[in-house]
Parts: sequence; C-alpha cells; structure tokens
Amino acid sequence: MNDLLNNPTILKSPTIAIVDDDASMRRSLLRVVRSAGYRAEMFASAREFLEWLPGNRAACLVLDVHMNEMNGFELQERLAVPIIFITAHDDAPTVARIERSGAAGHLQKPFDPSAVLSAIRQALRVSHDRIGGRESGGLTDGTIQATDPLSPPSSCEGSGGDGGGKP
Amino acid sequence: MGLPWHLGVDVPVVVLGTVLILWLLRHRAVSRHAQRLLKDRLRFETQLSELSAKLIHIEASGLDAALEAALRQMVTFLEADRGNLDEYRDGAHGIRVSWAEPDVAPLPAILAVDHLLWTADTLRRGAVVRFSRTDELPPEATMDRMGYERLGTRSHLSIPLQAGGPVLGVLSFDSVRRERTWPDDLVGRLHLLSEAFASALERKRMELSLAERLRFQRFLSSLSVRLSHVSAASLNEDIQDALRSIVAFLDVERAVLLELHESGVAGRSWTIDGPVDSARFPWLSLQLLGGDIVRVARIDELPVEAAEDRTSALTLGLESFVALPLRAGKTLVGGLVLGTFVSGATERAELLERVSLVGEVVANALERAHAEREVGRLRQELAHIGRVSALGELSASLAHELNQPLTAILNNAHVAQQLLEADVPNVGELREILADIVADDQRAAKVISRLRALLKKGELDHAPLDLNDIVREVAELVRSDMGVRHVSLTLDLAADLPRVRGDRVQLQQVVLNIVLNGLEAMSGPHERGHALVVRTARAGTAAVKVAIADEGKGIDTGDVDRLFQPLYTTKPEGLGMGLAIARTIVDAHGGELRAFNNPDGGATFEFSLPVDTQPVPRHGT
Repeated sequence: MNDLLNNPTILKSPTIAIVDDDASMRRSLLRVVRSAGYRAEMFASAREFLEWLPGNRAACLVLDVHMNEMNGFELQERLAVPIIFITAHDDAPTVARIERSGAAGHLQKPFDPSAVLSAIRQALRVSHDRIGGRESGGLTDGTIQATDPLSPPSSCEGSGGDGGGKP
Repeated sequence: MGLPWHLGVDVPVVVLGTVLILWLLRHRAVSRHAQRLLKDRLRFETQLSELSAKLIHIEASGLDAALEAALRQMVTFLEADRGNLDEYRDGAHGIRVSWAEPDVAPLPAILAVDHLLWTADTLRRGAVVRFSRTDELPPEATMDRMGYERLGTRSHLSIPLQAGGPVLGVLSFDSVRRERTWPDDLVGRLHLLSEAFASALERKRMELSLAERLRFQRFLSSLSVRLSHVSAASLNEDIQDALRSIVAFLDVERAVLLELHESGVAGRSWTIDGPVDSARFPWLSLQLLGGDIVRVARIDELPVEAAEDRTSALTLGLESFVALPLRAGKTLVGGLVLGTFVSGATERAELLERVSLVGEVVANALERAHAEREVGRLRQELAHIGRVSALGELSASLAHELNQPLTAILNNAHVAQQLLEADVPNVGELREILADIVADDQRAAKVISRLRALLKKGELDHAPLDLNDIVREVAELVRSDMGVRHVSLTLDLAADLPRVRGDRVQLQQVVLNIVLNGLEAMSGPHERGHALVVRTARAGTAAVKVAIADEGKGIDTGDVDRLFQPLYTTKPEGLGMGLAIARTIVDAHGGELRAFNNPDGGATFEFSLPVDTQPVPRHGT
C-alpha cells in the first residue's frame, strides 16, 4: 500500500493531524508532512478527528476552515493545540477571524509544500515554548500533549518558508 | 230526249262527293303529316328541355359525365354519327368530349387546328358552320375541306357555344355514313340546346376557377401558418420547406429567396435545396431595391452589367425568371426569384399575380425571423453579460475550486521529487501520487471547462435536456460558495423527470441567477435561515418545474411585478439584471417564472418549462 500514508516506522515524532474535507487535498498534505518525517493522521471532518482524539495526541493541526457540519473555527474553540488554518478564500471576514483566533499559522491555497512544513515547525516551536511555560497543549481539558515538538526524527525538510501565508 | 231527272242530279253529286272524299283523304294525310311533325317537334322539345334541365341541375363534379351523356343522346336523336363538345381555354387547346356511334371512328382528342382554320375563325365570330356536302364549303375553306375529308366527315354542323359572353366552345355533329341536310329549324332549335351546354360550361369554368382560387387561398394560409413558426433556430429548414411548397404549387422549377437590406448589403440566400452561397445577384438586387418586379424571359436579355447575376442564374439553372421585391410593411427585406429551365415560361400573367401574394407572406416571415434573430442576439448579449457578472459573484468560490486541485498537485509533485531522490525510489508510492496528480488535473480542467461553457458566446442550442442535470451542474458550481456563506444546499430532484428542450448554458444561468439571488437574500446584517432547497418536479403532464426556496427575508409582495424588471434591485451592489435575465430566458424557452413568499418565511422562485414533445432531434440548427 501507500508507504507515506501508512508509515509504521515514524513513531516517536510528534503527530500532525490533518483535517480537511477534500480527499485529494488531505492525502497530498499527509504525504508532504510524512515525507518530512513527522507522524501524521488525516481526517475528513472535525467529528472524525474528535472521535479519534480520546487516547491519541496531536501536536499540531492543519485545519481546513470551510467544512460542513463543524467548521475549522468551531473545532478550534474546543482545542488548546496549535492550529494552522488552511483557506482558499481571501474574504476579509475570514482572514480577520483567523487573525483574531490566535492560530499558529494561516495558509492560503495554493501554497507551496515548504510553506506547510515551515508553518508546522513554527507552530511546534511555539507550542514547545508554551509547554515549557504554562499550557498543556491539548483539548481545553488538557488531553493533548506535545512531546519533542521542535523537530521530527528524520526531517527531510530544508529551511522552510517564512512561516506560511501566501505563496 | 233528256236524261232522267235523277240522273241529271246524280252526276254533280258524285263529282262533288268524289271531290269531297279526295279532299277529305288529302286533308287526312296533311293532318297526319302535321301531327307527325308536331309529335317530332314535341319529342325534340321534350328532349331539349330534359337535357337542359339535367345540365342545369347537375353538380359540378358530375358535369363532365353529364355533358358526355347529353352529347350521346343528341347524336342518337339527330341520327348523326359523331358528336363533339370542344371547350376553349384561354386560347389554348381546349378539352374535347367526343362521342361516336359504335361503328364510326371517334375524333382524335386533339385536332390539328390549322387544318380547320376557316371553321375555327367562323365559329369564333359566333357564326354556325354547316354543310351537307364538303364541296358546299367556300373556296377560302379549301384546307378545311381537306381536313374534313381526312376525318371522314361528309356532312357537318358546328354551333358556337355562348352564354352572353365570349365563345366558350363548340357543339358539333358529323355525318360520316351518308350525306344529310341540317334544316334551319333544326339549327334554330339546336341553338337552344347550345345555350344549355354553354351555361353548363360557364358554370363549370366558374366553379373550377372558384375551386382554384380556394386552393390558392388554402395554399397561402398554409404557407402563412408554416412560416409563422419560423424561428431563427430553424430558419433554414422552414424556408426550404416553404420554397418547396411554393415551387410545387406555382408549378415553377426553381425558387430562390434572397435576403436583402435597404442598405444594399446582400444577405443570405436559399433555394429549395437549402442555403446557398453561390446566389449573387447584385444587379437584380439593385432593381428589387428600386421596388421593381423584374421579368427576364431569357437569360441572354440580361444587360451587360448583370454579368454576375447571369452566372448565378445559370448556376442555379434559371433560364427564365421573375423576381419580385419582398416588403414587410415599407421595408424591403428580400427578393423572391421564381424561374424555369425553359425560356419564356414565366410569362404567365396569373403566375405574377400569385407570386406577389406569396411574396408578401414570405416577406413577413423573413422580417419576423430577422427581428427574432436580432432580439435573440440582444438577449444572448445580455445573458452573456449576466453570466459574466454572476461568475464575478462566484469568483471566490471558483478560485477555491481551482486552488484545491492546484495545491494538491503541487504538494504531490513535491513529494514525488523527494521520492525520486531515494536510492531505490518507491515505485508504488510514485504511481499513487501520479494517479492523484492526474485526477486533480482533471478536476481543475473540469472547473475551467464549466467556466468556459458559461462564458462562451455562442449560437443558442436547442437540445433535449434533463433539468436535474442542469440543477446538479449549477450545484457543483456554487458548492464551495455555499461553504463560505454557511448555507446548506439541498437538492430534491424528481426521478423520471421528462426532458425539456433548450439551451443548456442559458438554463444553467437561470438556475444560477436564482440560486445566487437566494444566497444574497440569506446574507446581510439580519440573521436568517441558512438552507437553500432546489426541487424539480412535474407540473401537470405538459411541463416540468424547478423551485428554488430560500430562508431569506422574502419578497415584498408589492414588488413582485417589478422583481423581474431589469435594473431593479434591493441589493446595494446588485446590478438588478439577474432575475430579469432569468425571466427573459425562461420566456424564450416557452416557460414561466414566478416568485412567491413561503408560508414559513423566505421566498420561492419557480420556473416551469414545457416538456419536449419532439421525438426526433432536428438537424442543421
């Protein structure tokens, strides 16, 4: 099967959760993230992610804003983990809301893969700083724990971009 | 000594008696003869009045048979051998009814008239031709005498048939087996009969011409009906059909319809075989623009400056033609050229008279088609502008539709490049990545082609369509926009929906405009519902409908009429064209668009379209 999508060897690195209702998009993101050496899981909806969450930990979420049922913002409200939002619309209200939301990053499609990785790295660094300080980095009740968040065990990624944003 | 007294008395008595007897005998013979004559005459008069009555009361359809029966009766009665009834027709060869006794050769159906010129001339002047022997004919009738002798005629009587007007025909009797006389009183009485024949012929002629006129009127009205359905889409076929029926009815061989404009610019042209490029008639067009009917008996008569016209005419097989200007009101819209392969065959007066009537019908149709095309063109322009502006409203979601696959492709390509750098590239993985790239590329291409279809400016299509497909396609187009606006779109599509006929892009535009209108109604400062429902259903047996229900603020019932008027909008940045365009398109498809408020809030826009009843798709539109 698909090695990058089902790589059993990457076990100790932090898990990046990808939540996007577009199948092709989330598969490609999963490949990019895993190719950089991170553990990664993908989910087609916020609910799918929430069902997975008990007993699992995500160090960072790459999260699509516009999804049916529960959108990215609604999911964000229930989590205390760094979130990188993905959008395809540059409409002002959405951008403003992302800025207010305290997200770790914001990627607008189309974006470069290196931008994703660089955003993840930055998010994990922020998360690590916070963990070193006050926050536990999981659900607001503290179920998500980020361990060794700064780098994957065998990162293939070179120096990333400027932390995401427009290509 | 004298005779005894009684003897002296007897002799004169006997003489007197003898004389008396002789006188009486004579008187009886004379009286018997007179009685016989009287009886004959009575019989003849009876016969005549019976025949006349029969001819007067017979139906037009049975007239020919009645004439022949009457002729036969007269031949027998007159003890002639042959009877003929010749009917003159506009100076041409007439129609002959002939009857001959069984052992006598009948006259041929068509006589070589030039052998009986004197006879014909005499009859035309209204005089009787009569002879007991051919040598009674005057010296100037030598040819006629030879003619009669060739036909075996020994005695002959011809009476012109007149019913107050010109000579309509001739009633004639031949004696072949013997010579005989035609006494004056017989001729006199036959004149009476001839009047009955003449009035029968006159009646027949009038009824025929009435029937002919009716037939022409029927033709004109059927042509009008046929051409009243002319639409820009089926113009070529409709004109071809009409030209064919004109050619058939007027009994010409060629018909060419030229589209002309007052500006002098030549337009399209058609023959009975469809549209043609080769029909260039600059000289003729100029004449027609001047309002003249142009008659060309022979193509060689065309002036030098009509060289191109001559070439075109020859290409189209016109040896002789009549061309008339086609006017719709006061505007010249075209020319109708009717022609034959035979020189001089278009001279017939009644043809011209009819052609101008036919021309009027065609002109009106041409003008209507032209106007419709113009309206159609404007409508398409407007619809195109509408689509461009509708897509402007959708640009954000369309960007999303494109960005999604583009980003995925970039991600996948990036990973693939990395995989290739490995010592042993993972071929399985690469294959899957490439498959995803191909799928995403196709997805992007689909978005582009959907856009292109909506933005194209093209001829209107007229195809059978499934409205469910159209709704689905629009739903696909607005899907991501729904996400941005937090609106859910529900499709409730009827199974087995009959097809409609129309233009796919334009009907998509109708649905799109109404959907966008619904989305707009649910956005804005006031918090409203978030569901848009598109339903399709049958509307009776002859129509299908699409209803688009929103949960917006609803429509102002006072505004319903203005709602579909151009430039009417309640939106600050709206153009006010979306619903106007939608209604124009629905109208052009023979449908109806209406709007009403829902009982539980929001508005429903509903349009219905007639079910496609055409079994076989039409070609060439």
